[in-house]
Amino acid sequence: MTNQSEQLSRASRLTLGLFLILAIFLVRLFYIQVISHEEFLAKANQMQISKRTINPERGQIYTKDQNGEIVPLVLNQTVYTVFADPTQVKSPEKVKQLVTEVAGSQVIKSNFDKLSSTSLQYVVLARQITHSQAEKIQEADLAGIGLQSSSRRVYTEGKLANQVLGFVNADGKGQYGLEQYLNTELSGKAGLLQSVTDVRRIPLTIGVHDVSIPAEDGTDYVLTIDRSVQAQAEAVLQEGLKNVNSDSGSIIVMNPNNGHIMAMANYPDFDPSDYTKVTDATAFQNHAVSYAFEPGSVMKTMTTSMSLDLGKINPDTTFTDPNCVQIDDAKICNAEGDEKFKGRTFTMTKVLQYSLNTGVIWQLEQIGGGDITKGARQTMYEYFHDKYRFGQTTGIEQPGEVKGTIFSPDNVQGNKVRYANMTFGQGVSVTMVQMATAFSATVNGGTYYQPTLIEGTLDKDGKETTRDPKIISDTVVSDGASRDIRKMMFEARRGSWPTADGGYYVGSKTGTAQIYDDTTRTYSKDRTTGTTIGFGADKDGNAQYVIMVRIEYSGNQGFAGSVAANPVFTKMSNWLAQYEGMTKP
Amino acid sequence: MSNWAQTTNRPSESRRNKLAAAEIKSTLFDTAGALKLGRKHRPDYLMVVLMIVLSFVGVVILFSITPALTGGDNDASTKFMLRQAMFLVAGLASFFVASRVPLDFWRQHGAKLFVIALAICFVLPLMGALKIPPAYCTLGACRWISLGSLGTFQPAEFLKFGTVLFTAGFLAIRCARGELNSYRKTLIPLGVVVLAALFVLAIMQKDLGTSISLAAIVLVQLIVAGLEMRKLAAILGVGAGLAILSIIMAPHRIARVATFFGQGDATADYHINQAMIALGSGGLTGRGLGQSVQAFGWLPEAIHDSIFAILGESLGFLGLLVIVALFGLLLRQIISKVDYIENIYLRLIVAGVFSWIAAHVVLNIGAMTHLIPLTGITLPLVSIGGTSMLFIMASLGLVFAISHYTMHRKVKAEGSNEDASPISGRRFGRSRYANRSRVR
Repeated sequence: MTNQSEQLSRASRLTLGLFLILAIFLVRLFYIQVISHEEFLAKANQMQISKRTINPERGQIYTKDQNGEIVPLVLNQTVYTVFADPTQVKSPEKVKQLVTEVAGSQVIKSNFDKLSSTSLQYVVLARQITHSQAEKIQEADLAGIGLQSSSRRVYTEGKLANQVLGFVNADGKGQYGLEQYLNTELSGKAGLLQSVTDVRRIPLTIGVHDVSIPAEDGTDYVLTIDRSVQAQAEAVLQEGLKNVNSDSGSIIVMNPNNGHIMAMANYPDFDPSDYTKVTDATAFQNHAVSYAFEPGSVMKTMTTSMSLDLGKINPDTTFTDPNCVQIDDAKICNAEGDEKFKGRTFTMTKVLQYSLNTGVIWQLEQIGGGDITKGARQTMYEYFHDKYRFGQTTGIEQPGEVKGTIFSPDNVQGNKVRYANMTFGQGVSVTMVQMATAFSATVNGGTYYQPTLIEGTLDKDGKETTRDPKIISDTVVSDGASRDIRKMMFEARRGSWPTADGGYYVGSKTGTAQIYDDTTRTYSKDRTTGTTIGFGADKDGNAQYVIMVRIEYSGNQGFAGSVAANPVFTKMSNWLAQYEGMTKP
Repeated sequence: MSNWAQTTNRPSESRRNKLAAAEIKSTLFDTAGALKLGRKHRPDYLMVVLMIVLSFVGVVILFSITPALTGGDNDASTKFMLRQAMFLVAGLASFFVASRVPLDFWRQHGAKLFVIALAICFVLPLMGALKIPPAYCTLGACRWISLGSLGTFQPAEFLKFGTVLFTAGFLAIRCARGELNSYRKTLIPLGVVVLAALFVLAIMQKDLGTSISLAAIVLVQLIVAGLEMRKLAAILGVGAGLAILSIIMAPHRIARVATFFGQGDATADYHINQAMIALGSGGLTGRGLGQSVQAFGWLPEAIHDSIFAILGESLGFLGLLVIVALFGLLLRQIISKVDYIENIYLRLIVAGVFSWIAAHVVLNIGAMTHLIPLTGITLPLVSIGGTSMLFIMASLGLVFAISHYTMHRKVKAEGSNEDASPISGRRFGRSRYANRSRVR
């Protein structure tokens, strides 16, 4: 040991020791920086890169006023949530006082107790306060208090057209109505701001991961709904329901010449700005499109249009009423009280006026050459299903539209009895919107326009781009048949209610149908559907509007169609004739 | 001057030791009682180049993250960069001044500087506790003197400089008297002084990093002076015991150790994690200068203690490889002087400066790479702006001045005594003096 003269000096040994340590550092650095690079890079990216969604503004919904000016119906409003970070709050008492003073009823009082908690960092003190309220909170500048903005829907016309519109839920998703059907378009596209940020989450200009996709705001829509017509329709329906103690009904007003829905309302309804109060979700549903029912005698207009178009009848064709007809194993009669007509001869116009079931069955038999042959049924199916489009959705911009039920003659259910019943609106179910649209086609000269609630879209400068009406078919019925049915309905209505329309050219047909109860599989004895469908025309008999009313009726003052639905129709029609400035013949 | 020289006139114990001591004394002083320096020649410019390159790296990396520090404000950035440039100039000035001061000046006044520095370090926490203005405290640690807009002055760095001078002088005399390995004459008195300094630094100022580097300075000086290995072991044992005691007594140190073993408090964990993320995300070649994200507030102390991690993020493994190599080279340039200088005092100064810088480098990089616990210490030269830079540059100036007097050949003292001290063994565990003692 003593002989190790070649031993290194202490200084050299220190150097060696240091170099060993530095070598260890380099190995360690190689491990961290090269071998574990991906792992740390992922950690760094996760921490440093912040992704922020830029919320687009939801499309707003507009309507038109009586002057044709575009007016808002559904707008967005920025509202604020007041929250506290109890760990930062210095004076809970001051906070409590300020928030109570400013936010009043929107305060969540129970959360004040949590202000002194040290374990919580987020306590909501008030929700949905307005901008001016939020400003007051901001001005007070209390420690630990923050504001979060969000957007909510504001309904400038209150409940107007509530089921057509639907509502937007707390997650910002459209529910029911246009809000649901057009949710994607109304929502727009969220933008993305991805950026490397500093520790305070402020974006930096360095980094290759930066992404900036601006948000695309949702589409603004202009509805075909006319604010005044809708308001009137809702009022008239409500009043009519009240008059007959009913709690359920619908009304549609549409322009037969382009398929525009001018008004669409149902009862019961709801308040979209307070939708959480609704206990029965059926109030959200737009029954005019989502509820199929047996329409009853209003269907006679459709049967008659078919017969006219086929040339089997003209308005003055006569038939002799047998009151009842035996078809296979069923005996089908006219309504109660019509026995007095037995053996008398009626024109087809009178068949509509007196609503003779036997009259429209007779029409069908004429199509079959005297019997309800398979061929006759086939023809009727072609009209009802293919031309009138019963049993098919119309494509109106509403969710939950149903097809209704119609049996083809090839189906065992599509037998003679059913087709006989179908001529006067039993054994077939349709929605209000199907019926009104098909009826429009028969009175407008034979063009089936797809019913629509959307007139067009608004660009950011408030300029409207209108959509062209969508023609499904322009050969539903002939022009002549269309003219004839209008005339027949006009005369039939004037025969029943000579003074109802103040001289305007209005035609209508009522219907009263038994309501089929799915649970008992029988027709209800005391509940009927009263319907009225009709049009208002100018002095030349060109239809300008179509109105359909449906009311569920449990009274015994007469037929629901005449007693419950017709007064609503009349009131609406009279108002509309004036509103539209119609000319009298 | 002569006063200090006269202190070596005491007789040594053994005859052999007397001879050895006399030999050391003869290389220590000239006939006039001044330091014996030998022939002056061309100094070590490579060392200066390395120093400038490293501090230039510091300036470049600092300028590259200036936007992160000033929030992108152009005026603030310019001001900041100017300020840092001034710090660098101040550092270079202190190097220049230290390199021009006659070496005898340090021999005469080194101990005084140490005492003054220790006194300041001692008074500072007391002033801080009483909230007397120039004392500046953060997080309960009063280590700084506020200099207003110029920043802060950390006297602990001054103390390290003083320690290098004081210990070198103290040990040189003990060597010249042949008393280096005497507990009574050397080790216990030195131990008391060092423990007093450590008490001031570690307990009063709560500055563990500086304490460790101060202990390292004294320890390396002892080793180079020729301390017996058994005594070195004893000192290390006592030191370890005291270190453990100090850790147990201070909760924040327990936390730091806990952090190191992966279960510490969030703040320290956060610092280490951020440093590791900075290094790791840098990869082989780095994100590039000015592309550091961690500098934007993620990594605490980005310009001071954590600058190494920012370097790693910006320049990658390859960049750090170069920087570590530069440090290795610089330290080798310093320590290598030891074997070429006869004068024990100067050798001990060089050893002290070496261990000072080495301790900073090891403690800093070790902490950033999660190999040793975080002690909060700057990376010498690269971390611009601290008081540490001023004194490290001054100490390098000292070494530069000494580099004028190296010999051509390694110091070869009587065959086996390479560092020319007949008292101290050149070999670990085998000092001639120790052998002799045992034989006797």
